[in-house]
Amino acid sequence: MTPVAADIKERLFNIRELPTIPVLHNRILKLMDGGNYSLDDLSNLIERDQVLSGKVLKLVNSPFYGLYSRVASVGKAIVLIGSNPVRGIILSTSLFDIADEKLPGLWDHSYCCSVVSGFLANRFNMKDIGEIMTAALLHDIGKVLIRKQLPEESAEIDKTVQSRGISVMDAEKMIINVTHDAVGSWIAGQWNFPPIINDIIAYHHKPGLCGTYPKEAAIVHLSDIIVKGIGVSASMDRAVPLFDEQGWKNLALPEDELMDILSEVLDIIEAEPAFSQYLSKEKR
Amino acid sequence: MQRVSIDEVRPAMVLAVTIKDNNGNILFLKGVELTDRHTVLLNNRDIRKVVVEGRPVKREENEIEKLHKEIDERFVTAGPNSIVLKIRDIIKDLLT
Ligand SMILES: [Fe+2]
Ligand SMILES: [Fe+2]
Repeated sequence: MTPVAADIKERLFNIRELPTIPVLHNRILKLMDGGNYSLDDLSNLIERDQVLSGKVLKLVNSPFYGLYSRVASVGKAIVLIGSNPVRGIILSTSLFDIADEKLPGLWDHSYCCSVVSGFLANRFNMKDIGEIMTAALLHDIGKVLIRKQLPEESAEIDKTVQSRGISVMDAEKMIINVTHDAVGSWIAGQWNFPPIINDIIAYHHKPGLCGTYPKEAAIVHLSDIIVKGIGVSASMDRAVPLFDEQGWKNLALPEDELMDILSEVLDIIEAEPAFSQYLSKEKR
Repeated sequence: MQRVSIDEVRPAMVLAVTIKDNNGNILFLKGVELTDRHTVLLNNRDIRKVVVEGRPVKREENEIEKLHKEIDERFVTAGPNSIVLKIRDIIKDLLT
C-alpha cells in the first residue's frame, strides 16, 4: 500500500476531532477501567442516563439475549452481558450520533451485526461473546470518522461506489488510500479497547489474516455478509463485502448447516421491529 | 425451499429446516410432513414461520424477480466463491 497522503492522514487522525464523551459517560468508563468496582456502582451510574440505560436494556433484550425472559434492570443486564458491551454502547453513542445524519442506517446495520454475531458466537461455543458483540457493534466505526473528517472525499467515495459498482473498501483505497477497518482499529486504540475488540475491527474484512482472534474476526465477517445480504444496511452502502475464504475455513462450519443458520438468523432479525423497514419488500 | 408463515402451511408440506423452540429445544425435525396437529402446536409456541421443501406457496412473480435481482446486485462485490454464492441463493429462497 502506498503511504496515505500526509494531509489526509492529518485530517483523519486529528485526535482533537474525536467526539468528546459526556462527563457521566466518562465517569462510567473510568470506573470500568479501574476494574475494581461493584455492580451497584456501575448500574447506578448507568441508570442516571435514560438513553444509555435504554440501549443497555435493548441489547440485553435483543432476540439473541432475550431468549429466556425479559430483563428490566440495568444491574441484571450487566450480569448477563458483561461490562464490555456497555463500553461499546457508550463509545458508539457519541460517534453514532454523527452517523445517524451522515450514514443513515449504519446504526441499524451495526446493531444487527452485533445480534447475529452473538448468535453465531453462541453456535461456535465462543467464550468472549460479549466482546464479539461489542466489536460487531463497532466494526464499521471507521466509516463514521471518515465521513466526519473527510466530507469531500466521502462524497467522492460514494460516487465511485455508485458509478463503478465496487465495494466501499475498494473505493476507500482508491480515493483516500486508507480503509475504514484500519481507521476503526485506530479509534479502538485511542479508546483503549482490549486487543480482542481492536483485532476484530481491524480484521473484519480479512479475518483469515488475523493471528490472535481468527475465529472471532471471522464470525463478525460472516455476520456482516449475511446482514448485508439480507438487506439491513445503510442506504449508501448496500454492497456485500468481499468473502474471505481463509476466514471461512477457520470457522470450520459444515456447508450443509448454512441453511439452518440463515433461517434462524432471519427469525432473529424479524423479531426486532427496528429491522422491519429493511425487510419491507419481503413477501409476508 | 420456501419460508412460509404458519397460516400458509397446508397438510403434506415437508419441513426443510428443523424447528426449535425459544430455548433451543427441538420441536420437529426436518423431513417431517406437516399436519394440522403440527400447526396447532407451532401456533401455541408462537412460531410464525417455517421453511418447507419446494415452492408450494404461490407468490407474485414480478415481486420475486425484482427481489432476486436486487439481491444478486448486492452480492456482485462479494466475489465468486461458491460458499458466498450459496449464502446468496439461500437468502434469495428464504426471502421470497
Ligand atoms: Fe466494514
Ligand atoms: Fe459492515
